[in-house]
Amino acid sequence: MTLIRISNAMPTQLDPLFSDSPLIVYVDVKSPYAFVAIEPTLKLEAELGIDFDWRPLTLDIPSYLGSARKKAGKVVESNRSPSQWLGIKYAYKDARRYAERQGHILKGTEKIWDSSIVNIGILWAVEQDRPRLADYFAAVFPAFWRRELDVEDVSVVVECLEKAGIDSTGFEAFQAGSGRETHDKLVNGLHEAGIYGVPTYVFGEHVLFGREHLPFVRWYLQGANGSAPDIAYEVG
Amino acid sequence: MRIYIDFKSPQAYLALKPTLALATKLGLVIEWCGFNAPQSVLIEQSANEDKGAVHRRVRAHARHVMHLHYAKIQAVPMRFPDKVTKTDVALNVLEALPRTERTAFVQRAFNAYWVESLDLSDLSVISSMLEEIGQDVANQEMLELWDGNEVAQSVDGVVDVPAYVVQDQLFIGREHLPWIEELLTLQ
Repeated sequence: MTLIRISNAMPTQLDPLFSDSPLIVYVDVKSPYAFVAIEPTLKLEAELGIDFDWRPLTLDIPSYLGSARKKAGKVVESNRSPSQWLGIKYAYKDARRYAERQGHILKGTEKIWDSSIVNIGILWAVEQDRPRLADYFAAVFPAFWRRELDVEDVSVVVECLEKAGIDSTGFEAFQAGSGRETHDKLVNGLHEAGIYGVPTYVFGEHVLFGREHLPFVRWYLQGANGSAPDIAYEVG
Repeated sequence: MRIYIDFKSPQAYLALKPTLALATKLGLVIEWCGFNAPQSVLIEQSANEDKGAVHRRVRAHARHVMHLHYAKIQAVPMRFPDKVTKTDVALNVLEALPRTERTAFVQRAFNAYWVESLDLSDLSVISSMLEEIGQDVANQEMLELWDGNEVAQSVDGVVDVPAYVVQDQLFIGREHLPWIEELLTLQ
């Protein structure tokens, strides 16, 4: 499959599977899996010297995993089954230990956040100041997972952009207008493209969910020489 | 190292080769245990799907493709069954075997399911497999020893397979093998 660029400026409709970069990476700030994938993916980006095409995928978690709200550590609302709870508890525990290996704190969220504004911030960072995108991730992800950011508040996202050194002039209008339109069209088209979670890596003919595929992504982007690696969470 | 498996789990099957390689490298004896895992099946697109149904269908298809992709990389044959299947008899028999002598049966049963498409809920099929590997044939008593998923869930917190229990930590999935190796090496 040949990867092609749709246009040089931020288009109002991104094709979920096509880019001028050899790798598209889908992330959502409210996903613990995305949080622990950020650093190893950025590390691979730096290692290869390629700008990946980072994009938002704002998950609609209640549609497939039930919903819940906690207060002071106790569940006060939930429509989740016991097996869903067991799976979610394991997932958080697992993400937490890998986050700790990276030197971060990962606290379970007390509600399912609407992360669309902070995710539209990714589109803004890419459009306005792509070299500082990693700084935006650094301003957003660790603080959110320490429960220090209200990512539904546009002024908080503006502060994160400024902290990353990205000019935020016009962001408020962008997140309510053209940025929101681009975001919504992209997110609404992802299922049809076979994309359902984050992080998802799109490259060549591959659409792979989970950072365990990074060894294969690296192998592929380095020319697919020798034996392809199996899945692994790289440590060390 | 204790590892929970289910023979019908594609991810447990694909974990076999790298897990055995790690065990050989570190000289480990594996304690294989059964866990009746939910079977992942492809879902047909239907009219009036809600968002959750679409998500589950897309995820099932993506995971199916992904398993076949890594089977090819591992150079292991893999044929998905075309219907929902059970492995409960094989999991019961696994529990009846001596804890440190289960590897030959595990290898034989995974091959039976994923390569030969044999029915692992058929006692006669399981008996033949046991004979092949030099174990006593299966009998009805063997089917009464296993508590199902009770201990796995209540003691070890297992929710899916393959689940590795290493130094009181639970790791679900072969993607954790680098950390598991690190833990066992440091030990």
